Amino acid sequence: MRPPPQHGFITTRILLKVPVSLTLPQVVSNIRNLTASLFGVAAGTLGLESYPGFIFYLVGTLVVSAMIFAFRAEGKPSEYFYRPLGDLWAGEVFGGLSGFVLTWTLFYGLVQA
Amino acid sequence: MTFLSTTLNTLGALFLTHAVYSTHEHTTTAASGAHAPLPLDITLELLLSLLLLTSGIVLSSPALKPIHWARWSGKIAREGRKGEGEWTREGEEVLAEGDPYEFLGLEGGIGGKGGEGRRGFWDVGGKRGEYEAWVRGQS
Repeated sequence: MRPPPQHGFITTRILLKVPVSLTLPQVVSNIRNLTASLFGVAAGTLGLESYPGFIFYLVGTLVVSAMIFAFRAEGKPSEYFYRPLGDLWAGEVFGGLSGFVLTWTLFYGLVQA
Repeated sequence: MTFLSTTLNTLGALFLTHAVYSTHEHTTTAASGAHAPLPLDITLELLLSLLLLTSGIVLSSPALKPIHWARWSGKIAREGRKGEGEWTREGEEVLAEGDPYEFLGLEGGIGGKGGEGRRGFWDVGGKRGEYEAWVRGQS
């Protein structure tokens, strides 16, 4: 048997092992980031420029929110989100914007230019 | 669900690749230059692939958990203990990687009689059910 370590070590060890899977916003944030890159690919391939591209992104995030609402939250968002409007429908919308612009410009340059 | 989302993702990725390749070919070979309007079938294929991929991504994401502890506990009580994580044979969900009580040195058990396997959340309701079943079995 190994010798018991110091008390401070034990508490930090237990405190640091908070389960990551319990943090809900990460699920939405992951979905948003993945889909935002995909929307960027589509917007660049379609050759969208300026405002239509951003409108495309906003419509896409709305569709994704509706999918989370229907498939993940089972139609009861108040049970899974503290503020359904802010956390589900508008949550993390601008977090995925940088990924969207990145793939949008990349694929516009690759395919259209 | 895993099979469905994998199928959706694979199909969507295939359609997306094909649509992007078709667009590239169209813009390089179109007679009216690089900014010729995209044919309708490519646009439709692109939007379809997007729909397949987003639904696949949403379906493959981990299930949400109720924000009220009481609701969550009620859900566990109704649907049984089926967290996506591991469960010890004591009926506790393993919430952390590795054993946080490893320092107690009980992994081999007290006196070598098998480990306790006690790691995280203790399902009180489930334990009470087991105890009641045991009491009924005694009488």
